[in-house]
Amino acid sequence: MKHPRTFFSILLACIAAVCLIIAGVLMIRQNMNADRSRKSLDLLRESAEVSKEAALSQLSSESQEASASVSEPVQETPMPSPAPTATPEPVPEPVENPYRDSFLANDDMAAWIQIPDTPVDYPVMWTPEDEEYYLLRGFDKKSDNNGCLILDTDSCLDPLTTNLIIHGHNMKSGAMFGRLTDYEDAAFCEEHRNIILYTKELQRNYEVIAVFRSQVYKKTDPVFKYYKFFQAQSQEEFDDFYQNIKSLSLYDTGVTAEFGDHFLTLSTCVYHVDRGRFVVVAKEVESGDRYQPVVEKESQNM
Amino acid sequence: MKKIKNTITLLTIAAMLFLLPESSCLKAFADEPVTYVVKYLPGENGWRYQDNRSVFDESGSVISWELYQLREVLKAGDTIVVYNDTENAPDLDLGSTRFANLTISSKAFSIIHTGGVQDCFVMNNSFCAVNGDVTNAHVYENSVVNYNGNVQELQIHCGDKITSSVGVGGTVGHLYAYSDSQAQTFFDLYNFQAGSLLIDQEGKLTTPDWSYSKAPASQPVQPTPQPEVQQQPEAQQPAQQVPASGGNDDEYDAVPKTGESNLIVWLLCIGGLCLCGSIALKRAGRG
Repeated sequence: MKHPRTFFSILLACIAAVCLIIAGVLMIRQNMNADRSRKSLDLLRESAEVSKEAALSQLSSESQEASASVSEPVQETPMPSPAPTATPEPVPEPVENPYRDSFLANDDMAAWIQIPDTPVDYPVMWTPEDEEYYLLRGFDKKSDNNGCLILDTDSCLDPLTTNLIIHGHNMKSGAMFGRLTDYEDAAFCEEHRNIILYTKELQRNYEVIAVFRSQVYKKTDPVFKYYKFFQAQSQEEFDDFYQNIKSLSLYDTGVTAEFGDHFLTLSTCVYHVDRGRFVVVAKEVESGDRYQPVVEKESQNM
Repeated sequence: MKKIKNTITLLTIAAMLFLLPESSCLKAFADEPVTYVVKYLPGENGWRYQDNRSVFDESGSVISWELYQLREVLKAGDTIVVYNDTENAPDLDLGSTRFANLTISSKAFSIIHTGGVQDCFVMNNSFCAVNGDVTNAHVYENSVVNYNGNVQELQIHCGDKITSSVGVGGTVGHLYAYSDSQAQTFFDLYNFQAGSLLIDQEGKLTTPDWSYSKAPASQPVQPTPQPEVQQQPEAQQPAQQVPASGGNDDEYDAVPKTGESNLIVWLLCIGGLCLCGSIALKRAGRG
């Protein structure tokens, strides 16, 4: 070799060129994929917002009509009823699911999660046959580094398990659960304590009960593993989970739970230890609207 | 210089072809199903396996491999035959791959962890616990078996009476126990609730009536997700921060990895370093 320096210089330049080209191509692909996913999700969000606004305006017009009818002078004297009748509890009518279009667009969508005033506003996918199918795929099933939020395969909405665990990527861009660690701040938690899960059947509301850091343990480690709790068959199992999350919690949220309550657990990667996880657990509170079955609307010309 | 340019061009084209958006549609042809035989060898103090066999050869003429390699090569269509005659053998961990056939002949009690099995056969006089969901489970005579996952179809084969004890931690879609020799059906029941099916060693079903149905459901039963077998609460300790240890993924619980990939950052760093090195070498050469 006459000129080893020249040879190595060229070799390094080649490696550098390959690395930089691959990095560039990957970056462009990732950005394109992320952009495509963002646009498709924006469309779904838009459609949901339109549905919500329509439902709200319908509700307000109904209440206006009701108040108008109350203010009208009563023309007829009501006949005295023979016996007092019990006033039936008003049962709210099921309304149209605001995420109907999203459910119809992808059968794998189990719910839509929203934490008001945070970037968390995403579909939650459930694929029991392959838990990680959406880990690196977008809602449209195409490659996307952000992936989708995934409902753990051992969690189930129907029948509802005691704990629903949702996993999501901790993206530096803040997408998915990239901002979940903001919950380390008690003040942030106080302002964003409500989590909404729009399922096919109803709107489930949750309140944050515990926030903590944990990790994935070895199979043989006899420690509390939040990711192993799905169904409390007994008070003892429930208490074990509840007491552990409360003792691990970074601060007291003031929310308590008892056997029979249901939880929603949000989990994402953090790096305080190897295989670290950041976890937000919320307790289900009073449900919101019940929804009509999600079905395709019949064509107008039919 | 021309050759170098050509090389760089070729490398660039290769990299771009490899990374084309549709490159993911390239498919590799799957290998043929393989039969592996696994046995606990007290002399080796561990489980060993041999491939393309259903009987373990201990003569030394067939090479046996360490189990971790089996977890790496095991694929969906494969068959595994398990033998064990040693009491207190450690758990047999077959990894997280769901495979086609698991046949167990275990005179001593064995605990087998799987990622799920299509057909599971427990041969006569076997003692074992199987973790993972099973589609079709067959239990032969004089066996004691505990399935800790869901079982879709459980068939118990027997003579004039049931001589096997079977428990299931998950749901059971259909229990069918019949006599091969006497054409007699002992049980033909459906839709057992999670953790309810238990047949004792006298062949009696101890499950309460309300936990199963005598007629098949009109639709396939959706297995109720079950909590995995957990440590007893008193054995649990509060979560601790375990120091980073690297370690094999198989040793850890299977939880989706939700970290962000740093591949691009690494590539940029390597590219930058190589470029700096190249420039430095070039300057040194001139000097």
